[in-house]
Formats: sequence, C-alpha cells, structure tokens
Amino acid sequence: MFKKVLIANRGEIAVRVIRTCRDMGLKTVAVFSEADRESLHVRLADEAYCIGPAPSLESYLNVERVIDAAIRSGADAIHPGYGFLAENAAFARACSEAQITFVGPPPDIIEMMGSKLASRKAAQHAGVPIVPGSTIPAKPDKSALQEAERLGYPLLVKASAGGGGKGMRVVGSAPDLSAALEAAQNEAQSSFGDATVYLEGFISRPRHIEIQILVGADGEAIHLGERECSIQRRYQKLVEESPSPAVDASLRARMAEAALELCRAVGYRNAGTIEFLVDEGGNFYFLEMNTRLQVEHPVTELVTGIDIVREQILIASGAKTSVRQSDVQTNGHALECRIYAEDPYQGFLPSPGTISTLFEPSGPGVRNDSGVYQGATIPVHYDPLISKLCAWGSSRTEAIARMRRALREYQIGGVRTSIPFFDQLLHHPEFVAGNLHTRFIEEHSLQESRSATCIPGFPVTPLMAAAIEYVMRPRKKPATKQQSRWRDAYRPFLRI
Amino acid sequence: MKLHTRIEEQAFEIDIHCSTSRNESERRFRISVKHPDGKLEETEVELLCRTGERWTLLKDQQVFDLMVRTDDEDRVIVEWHNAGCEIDIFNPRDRLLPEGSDASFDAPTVIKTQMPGRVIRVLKKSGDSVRKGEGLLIVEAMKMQNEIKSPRDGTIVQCALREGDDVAAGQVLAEIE
Repeated sequence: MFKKVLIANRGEIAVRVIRTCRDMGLKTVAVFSEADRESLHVRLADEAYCIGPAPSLESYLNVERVIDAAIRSGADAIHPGYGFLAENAAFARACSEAQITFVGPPPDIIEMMGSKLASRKAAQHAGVPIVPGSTIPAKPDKSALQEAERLGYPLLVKASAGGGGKGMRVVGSAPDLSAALEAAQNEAQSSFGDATVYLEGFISRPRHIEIQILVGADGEAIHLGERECSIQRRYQKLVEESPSPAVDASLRARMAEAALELCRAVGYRNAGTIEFLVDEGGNFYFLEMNTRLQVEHPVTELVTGIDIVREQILIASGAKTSVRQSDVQTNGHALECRIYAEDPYQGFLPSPGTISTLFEPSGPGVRNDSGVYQGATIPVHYDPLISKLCAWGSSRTEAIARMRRALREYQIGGVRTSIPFFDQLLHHPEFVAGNLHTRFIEEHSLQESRSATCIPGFPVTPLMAAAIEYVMRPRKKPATKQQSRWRDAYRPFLRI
Repeated sequence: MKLHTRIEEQAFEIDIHCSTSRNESERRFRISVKHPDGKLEETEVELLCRTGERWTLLKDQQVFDLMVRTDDEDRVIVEWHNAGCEIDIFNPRDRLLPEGSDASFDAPTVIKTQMPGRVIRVLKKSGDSVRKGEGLLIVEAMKMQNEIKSPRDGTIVQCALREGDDVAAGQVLAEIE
C-alpha cells in the first residue's frame, strides 16, 4: 500500500479524496495555485506545494509542476480527482515515468475513451448498443449528406474529442448541415485541438443514466448500480440520484451487463462510469465512458455503503475490489444537488466572492461535500462549485423530503448560490413524480425566482426586517483626512 | 424614526422605535406599518440573534429565520426559505443630505440627490468659494424643504441648476473642488 498520496486537484474533490486517505492512514499532499493559498483542501492536507499562478494552464493543468511536487514530496501515488488532469493520458504516462502510481486506468484506455469515435467503436465491438450514428469522422461533402439522410433529421454534429456540449450542433434539416459541420469543427479545433466531428442521431427527451463500475487489479469487474443525471443545464449535470426512478431490475441488469462487457473487452482497470441515454421506450444507448471518479459518485456511496475513492486507491495499489458483486447491496435512495456560486435567476451567472456567512446543513441522511468555509473566497479562475449536497432516505420520497429540509437549512451569505433554484426544483410535481429528461429545466421554465409572497405575514415581516436593518446600519461619520484616505484605499466605491 | 419603503411597487410608511438600548442584549423594536390603503399595523419584534447575514426575529412568538443583506444601491434584500424580495428603504431626510459627508479629500466631491425633488433656491453658483457646512441650495422633496450643505471647504466647480429645476434621483447637484 502507498504511504503518501498527492491530490492533483482543488476544491471539494480534493477535500473528498484527502478524507479517504486519512481514513486509510495515508499521508496527503495538496497542490495549490496562488489563488488557492487559503483554500480548504490546503488546510486539511499534511503537506502542500504551490504549483504556480492562478490560471489552470499554469498550475493545475501543468503536468511538469504537478509531477515535480509529487517527486519533491516523495508521494508514491497521485489521485487526479475529476476535471483538470484526470482524463489526460499524457499525465498518466508522466506519472508512470516518474514511478508514481496514477490512481486510474491505464493511459491507453484513457486515450481511447477520450475519443468519442474510438469509444463508440469499442462499445460496438463489445456488443453494446450505441446512439445511432457514424463511427467515422464526418467530411463536409456529399458523404455527410448521405449519412445524414440515413440517420434522419434532426441530428447532432458532435466533436469526437468533445464534452460538456462544446463542439456540438443540432441540425434540423439538410440545408443547415454544412454550416453546422463547419461551426462544430471550428469549435472543436479551438476547444480541444482536434477538429474531428461525426454525426449522431437525435433522441428526443432522453434520460441520462450511467453505470458505476469498479474493476480490480485482477480484472474482476463489478457494478454499483446506476445514477440518473437527467437534470442538466447546457449539458452540465445539476441533480443526480441513485437508483433511477426509471430503471427496474431487468433494465438495470441489462445496462450493467453491457457496461461490464465493455470494461472486459477493453481491459479496463479501476473506477469508471459508462454513460447511456435512455429513450422514452426504455431502450438504452452508449454515450461515453468516463475513466475517472465522477462528480456525482457520493449518491452511489450513499446507497451502497462503498467508499469509491478507497476502492480506487486499493485497486491502484494492486488489490482486488474489496467487495464481490454478490456483496453489493443497495439500500434506499440518494440525491445530490450541485451547489454553485452562481445566480440562478440571472442565467446562472457566476457569482465569485467571499463567503461571509455560512451555515451548513446536517442531520439524518444529509451529507455535504464542501470545499469552503466561512471567510473563504470563491476564485474567479475555476469552476464555482461550493459543495455537493446529498440526501439519503429509505425511499425517494424520504430522500426528497430530507433534501428540501437541508436546502432550507443551508445558508450562504456573500455570494449568490443555486440553492433557491434547487428548492423550487425539489418541489416541482414532475420532479417529485420522477418524470425526468435532459430538457426538464428548459421545458418547465424553472428559471424564475420564487415570489416572496410566500413569506408568512408578507409584506410586513420583510418590511420590519428591512427597517431594523436600516436603523442598525452603521452611519458614515466625519473622519479626519488620514482616516478618510485609509478608508478610500480599502473601499474604492465609498466615494464617487 | 419614520421611514419610507417600497416593496413590489407598493409604498409603505414605517415608524420604528427601539424599545431597548442597542448596547443591551435584548433588541426590541416597536414598528408600525402604514399600508398604501391607509391600514395601520402595529407589532413588536425582537431581534434574537444576528450572525452575519442571518437574522432571527421573534414576532408574536413566531420565529423568522431570515437572510438580510443590502445591495449596491442600499436596497435591503430579505430572504426566507429560499424566496426573497427587494425593499427600497430610506429616511426622507437622509436622502437629501449630500453623500460623502466625511469628505476632506483633494479630488472633487460630487453632491447628488437620492430622491427626486425640485430646486427651490440656489445659494451658490460656479466659482464661489464655500466653507464646510455652508448652504449650497435648497431642494424640496416630499413637501419638505432641505438645505444642501457643503461637506467641505472648497470652490464650486459645477452647479448648473436653476431655481425651479426638477432633479431626478441620483442627479448631480454640485461639484466642489
């Protein structure tokens, strides 16, 4: 087993990984950019190394500096978390060259799954149904038009190296195809340095359902059931749950078998997630494979009782998974809301700043994987995720009730957050009924703020609070010249 | 203290009295709210606890656990159970006082109104020198005449207003150098 693990990440996921390392008695090494000097993950680690300036490219994405910190600290393993270098095959290779274990699958598999075209081919070879479409690059000529006719409109143009909706276009009819191809190619080139695009059939109102798998160092593959992540905004997941309200035992068994088949076929190792789209008829199609820890892994941990990060570290050290398939039992239902520092009522505009007030929820069935503390700053340079709020219940109904309670308890001052949006969503009858699909938020126009008229005694109660705030507000007092200068230096908006 | 408020396009008048001194641990307020239709509501509220933006009020034994903050324009935003409202609140007298009353700085001081009103008299014109506390103009708003006083010693570099002019909220009244 390792002695010291470097966590090549920041924020809540770095904190999450540090915690499991602690549980396992492993020393932890944090890396941080100059913008993260005061971050929680640094404060929780045993050792910490500054790896460069705030921009990710010069710090968290800089392979050399991360490896250098690992060598200097004497770490024998690197956990990449998610994002940043987690699916970077060159980084995984650099780790092995430095004789440090990369906690994840072999570099070749990362590379293959990083290409949508290659992974679709691999899935097809393994007998896993893929989203209808091509497995070869689309060329802006007649062949693309013919392929499009075969698939039927509407269809999608997708970047092979893509993700998160970048390099993707919906095409409604043949005349729009060539323009969409060109636009997607340009976007793919600038975002991923690879202009390869392909055509994919359009599935209307699909559910996004994924299978969590673990493959031990011995090659034994097990699955931990599914997660449904249909609540998305611009292809970014916002709410995840396990199990899916749309998956019965038979569908689960078929999806899991397909996922395991793919893992065996490509010789996968460590934790991974196979994402599927499920159409309204209950047919599932391979979408992509994520060769890392998922953001939403806690919902699976809550229903299975298995620490996925611990399994990752065990497997990376050469062990089998700590449980066999027959030991995996799921219990109850879990939900996760991704709490971001953004204003849900201004188009989810990021709201970086300092967290001036913080009350985190707790109590029965509540888990909050947070990366902040009161007084911490959400930097402008990175994803503005504050925490992942999870609720577990013996049923979906109980999990929803607990999530609603936790969302009311969660009080964050100083930045706007997506909490009010989730509060609304968790009360939406269609959400409660489990009628989810990836266009849920757009179709149910959940981007209007809830009226304050639900405050009891409205409008007198808020008026009273405002009046008390007004009389208690510190008044501007005459100051001497020097004090005035001093204050101006710190409060640039004090004077016009 | 009498305050004017506006919530969701409706104007309310509030009279608020602190029943106990601010230094004491109990902070009670007697508040009467006059609705737009003239209805008067009187209540007593205790501010039990205040931790940053989180306030806990007690009114008729009902607990109100609120988030209270101000925005850039001094509006008060009150949130309860993840629903919120914005409240414009001001003391009609304060709104006529010049901003930056602690001014003693070299850069020009801009004097603005925060309330719409009408200029009744212009006491100083461009180029005049003024002493701190000297009247610059008189503005009438909400049927009250208020003398706008200079926040500092200096020279008026700009005062384009004439008697009878209407001024909008935020409009520059004068600039002193």
